[in-house]
Amino acid sequence: MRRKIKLVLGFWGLLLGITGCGTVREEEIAERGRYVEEVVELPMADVTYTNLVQKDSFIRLTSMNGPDLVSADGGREFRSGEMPSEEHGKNIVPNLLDMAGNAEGDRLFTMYEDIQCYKHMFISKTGESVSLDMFPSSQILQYFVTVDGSFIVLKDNDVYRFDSARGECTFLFESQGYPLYAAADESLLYVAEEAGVWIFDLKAQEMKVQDEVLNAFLANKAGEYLLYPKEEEMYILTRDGLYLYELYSGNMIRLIDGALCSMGDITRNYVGFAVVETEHKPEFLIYYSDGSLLRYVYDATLSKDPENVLKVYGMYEDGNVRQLITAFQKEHPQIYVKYEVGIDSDNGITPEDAMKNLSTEIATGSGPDILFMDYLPYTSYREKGALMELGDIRNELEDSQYFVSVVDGFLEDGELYTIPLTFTIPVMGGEREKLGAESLSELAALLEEERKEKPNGSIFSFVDARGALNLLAQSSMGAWIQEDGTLSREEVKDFLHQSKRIYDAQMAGFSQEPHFRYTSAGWGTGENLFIRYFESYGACDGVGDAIMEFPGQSFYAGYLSNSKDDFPFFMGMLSYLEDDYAWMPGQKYGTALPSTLISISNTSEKKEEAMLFVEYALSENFQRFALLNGIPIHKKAYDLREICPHDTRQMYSLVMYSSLEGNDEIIEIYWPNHLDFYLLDGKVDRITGVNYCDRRVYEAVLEYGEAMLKEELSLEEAMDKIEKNVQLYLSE
Amino acid sequence: MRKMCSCTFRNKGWIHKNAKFFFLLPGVMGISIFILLPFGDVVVRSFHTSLTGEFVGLNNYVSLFGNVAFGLAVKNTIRFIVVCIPFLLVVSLLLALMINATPQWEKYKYLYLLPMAVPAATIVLVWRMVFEKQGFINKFRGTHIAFMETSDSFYILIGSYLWKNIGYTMVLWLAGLKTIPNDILEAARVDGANGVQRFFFVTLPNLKGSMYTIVIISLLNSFKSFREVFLVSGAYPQEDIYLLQHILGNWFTNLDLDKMAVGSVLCVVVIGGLCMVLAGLWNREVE
Repeated sequence: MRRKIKLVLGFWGLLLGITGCGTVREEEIAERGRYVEEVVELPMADVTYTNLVQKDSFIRLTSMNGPDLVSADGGREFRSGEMPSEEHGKNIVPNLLDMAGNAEGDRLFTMYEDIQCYKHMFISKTGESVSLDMFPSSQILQYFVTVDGSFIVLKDNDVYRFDSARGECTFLFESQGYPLYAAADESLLYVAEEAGVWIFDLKAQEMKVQDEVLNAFLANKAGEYLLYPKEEEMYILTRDGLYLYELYSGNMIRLIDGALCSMGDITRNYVGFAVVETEHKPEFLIYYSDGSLLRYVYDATLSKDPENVLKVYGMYEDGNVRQLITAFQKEHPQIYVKYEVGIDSDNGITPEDAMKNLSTEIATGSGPDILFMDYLPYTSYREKGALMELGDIRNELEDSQYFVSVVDGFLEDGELYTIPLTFTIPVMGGEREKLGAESLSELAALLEEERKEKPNGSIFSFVDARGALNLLAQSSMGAWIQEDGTLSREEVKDFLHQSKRIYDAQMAGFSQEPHFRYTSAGWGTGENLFIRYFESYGACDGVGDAIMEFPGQSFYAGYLSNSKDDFPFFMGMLSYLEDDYAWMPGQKYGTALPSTLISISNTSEKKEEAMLFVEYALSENFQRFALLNGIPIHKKAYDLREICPHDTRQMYSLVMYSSLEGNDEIIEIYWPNHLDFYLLDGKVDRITGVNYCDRRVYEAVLEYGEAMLKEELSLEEAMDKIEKNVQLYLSE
Repeated sequence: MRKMCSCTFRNKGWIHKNAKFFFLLPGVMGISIFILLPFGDVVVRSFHTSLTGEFVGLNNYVSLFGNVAFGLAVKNTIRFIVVCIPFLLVVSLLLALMINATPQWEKYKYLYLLPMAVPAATIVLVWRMVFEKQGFINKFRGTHIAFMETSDSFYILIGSYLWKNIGYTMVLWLAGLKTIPNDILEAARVDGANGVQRFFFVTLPNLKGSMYTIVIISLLNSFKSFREVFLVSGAYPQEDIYLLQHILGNWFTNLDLDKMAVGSVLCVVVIGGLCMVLAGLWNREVE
């Protein structure tokens, strides 16, 4: 008997061992060594350079209009290179359109001669110039520098090599698709197009077989990667990280994880990429479009994977989050932030699957520390206790410093589980005297009156049922759920009833032809424009564009922020049209659309670091310097955006505008004046809360509401269907 | 040296005595690692809150019994099983008897398995072509009805289940029929029993062993019909075809892991209980 007990105990012991219930100290199993990111200080911090090129350990940052920066020690220290000649500075620099320079200082460039007339030239480091007359003056060329210092020239589909030593240009081959990028070493040339990468043997002067693995790896990444060929191998720099690949081997080795450093930052592009050989592992220098030069150095003493990793999750890629991570990483280099995106263009999974993956991670204890709730079921997560209470952080937010009415929009029973980092406001533009509506019924009456005066053409910013509901929901959706979490039948019914009136008023002015034209232009569904569930609030996809797309329209609506492009553009158009704007009428009149909703996971084991991350996200330091989509929640950061970096008398932008009569007009846009900002401030200060709605409820209202607007369902039928659909969800 | 030999001999005896455990070990390990341990974890979770891990006793169970969506899912699932399985068993048995009595049809019996080989995605495509607003039925009738959004969807689901499983079940019945010795049937015939009497008093009692297996397999297959419903209507289909798998999937998506744990435990208890009842009945008959 005792033996049998021993046997059973032994068996379960074995099982526990196999299933990993024992503990193993992490440091015992962790391999050592990984790349770390370092900032390279440049002597002239404000200047941005057109490319980064190298010859062995000599590195050059090429400038279009000033002295280059050069380094003879593999990019450790930079100094100013030779100044361009006086003649160059006077005659060429002001007219330069595009330029590429190699490490020796030779340059190939295109300059304006006249309107749509260009001159292509080569200037050697010694000042000798060669005019590239073989290329037509009407064409713009693309230049790339090879690892050995010669140039690749792309003209339409034709690929040329320019030998800087001999000053000669040789035709190599004609690409089948439009080439977008080229890179080469002494023996192999890679020319990338959408469909794949062509490989050309420069020594044998013949095409080589395409590498299918390389093609698949770089598919859909056009313009977002750099190659550094090195004999049969190459380094590949992408948003996902830095890879080493041996041609035709199919074996892609990731050297650096892009999610753990600035490589994954979508807000800046790669300009140049150098590889500096050292005794041990090579070092990498990457020059980014924001003017920063970063070095990636291998540190053999560190563990292979960073110990202090803070996991950040968002359903979709978000520029605001990327900026936040990059800035936080700089401020707190001891904490590695890993950004996990549920749905990206590569994985092609559905939101449901992404949420299931997230649930699996959370259930197994490997979930994210920080959650961006924009596309996640916030209410459900809060009720399940998945989110940490952020009351302590809220208590530190003072009225004078933050738009607390937006933050408090998420307060429930005195508890707060998410904080919006930005928001936008839904607005409506049109003739000043007519902008007084606050409710949807008043808006419907206004549009019905307008239709009587203007029987044909568009009077509001939508052209189909879904677009109408999407637009009107921006100022109403928050009213659809009652405090007890049930659906408010009266509010939804009223919303659909008024939407139908508005829809009918708008559609009465359309003949079949213009309706089709607008729809085909991509404005049909509105799904990509307004609502959080489909896309983050884009600065330029707001109300400004609504004016542009519907010339001569009586009223237009969308969302507005004071971000760099949005507000000046909108105000410029308003000024041109001599119109005014007001809050968008709706059931939640005067509320903001919150975005970039930050939360901390309750299951996080790094709550201290997570709190630090949230505090940094809310800090003036971050909100002030980031190019956030939307209005920053920090008032000072908001105020600072108003401080005009531009002279109000100076033109901000030029806009080509097609009037109703079909005439193209050029509109000069000026930076908004202080009164414009003052009036915007007045609106923003009067925000009464947030307009937020559960995704399922929103989708159900839109789905059956669309059928109701198209008269496939009666109002009662639509309401019954919405209730049934939503009740099932809410009762789960 | 002698001692060593005796040891070896003793060990051999021990091995012989416990050999059965060694043969059982791989299977027991597999079941333990992949089924029993995870299920044990699910049972533990069902008494705790999903994320904070607080012990809540039977609260999760109590809240689940008051959950309207769970009630609806259970009701629909039971309704589906109660309608489908008897219908499937009877129709497939009749077909099996017909084929058994017609030897020339028997060589085609594997063709009846074809619906099992059709991928769910293909079936879904057919559903769409037939039952959508723009589908064949509406085209012929001149109507504009999305059948999958009406209560007809339940019958579409039953039709799909029967179509897919009838051939397979029939083959199982045929296998059972082949095990009945011809001598017994001949003896019954000589004794003057007609066809109906032979079926009820000879064939059917001899099929009880197969029936147990067929019922269990049909029951388990009935849960697979969820795939088609999910692919056509997503996580929230028309309420008549909202099944247990829907609610379990939705709970997982929405992080209701405690409810999901309770739902899973209840499913196991009910299905396990049903299997044991069936097994008990079958054993009693055999005895």
